[in-house]
Amino acid sequence: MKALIGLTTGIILGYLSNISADTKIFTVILMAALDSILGGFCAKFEAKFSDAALIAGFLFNSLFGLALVFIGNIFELELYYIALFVLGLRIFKNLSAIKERLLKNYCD
Amino acid sequence: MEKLRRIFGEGWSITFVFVIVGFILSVEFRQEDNLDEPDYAATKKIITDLKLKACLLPLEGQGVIVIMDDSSRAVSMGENPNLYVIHDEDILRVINELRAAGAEAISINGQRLIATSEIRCAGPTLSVNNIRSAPPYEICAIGDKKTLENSLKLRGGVEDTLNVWGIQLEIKTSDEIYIPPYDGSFHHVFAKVAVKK
Repeated sequence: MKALIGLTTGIILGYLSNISADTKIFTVILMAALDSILGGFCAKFEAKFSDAALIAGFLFNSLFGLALVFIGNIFELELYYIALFVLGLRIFKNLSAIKERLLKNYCD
Repeated sequence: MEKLRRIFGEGWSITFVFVIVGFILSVEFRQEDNLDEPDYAATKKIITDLKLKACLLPLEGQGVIVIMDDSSRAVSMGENPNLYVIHDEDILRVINELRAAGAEAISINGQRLIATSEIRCAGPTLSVNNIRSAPPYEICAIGDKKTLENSLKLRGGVEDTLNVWGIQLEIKTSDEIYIPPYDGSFHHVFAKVAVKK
């Protein structure tokens, strides 16, 4: 429910705003957001969910990703692949953790 | 942190992250809708226009076909046989006349005439765009077919003059003339782009 409210608010905001930005930046932030969301689910299953930790993780991940994008733009290197790679790895790790948890619940 | 939790309840961070996800997604979609598509179309139009002007596109339309062949008249003793073969000047006169009559595209034996094309005698053959060809020469021109035909058939015009030497000039009009594009390369070694003065 909260997720849906957030998503609609974000879409409306984005539609009304007049921002156009680099695709690289958006990709990195999107991956960081996905990572945070899945990480949040994972933590919820293990009952150690914390808003502060999730937000901090998201902000730091995206900030470092953005730093990589900017450094990459200066030196004309595709450094942001590193961020995408690591975040993607984490996403799949979280996914598999969630899946194992669900399987366990189902089998029990 | 405590304030936020009191306002939004537990799990406000998820909402926040989702707000950002939605924002990014909608901005990306809006960008694709508004910016990219018309830009590509405009650029493609400009490129096609430039290619047309640079003679890099095949063209078709109404116009005339002029077939020129060497004189079949027997050369009598003591006469210069050079007078009875087609020279670059004869072709240049025809081309000049066609251009003056508003030809939009011209080709000689399948070689498109561009701004830097040469028309030059190379022994018994003719060199256009550095490609040699032998008579008969077929000159295709796209333009108003009546005007083009009449410009060549003027009394005292090109056809009359060339007929004096026995050079055979056959002029046909057609509604479907195909002119190939220029398929050579462009060289600009000495010329540099300058500011307009």
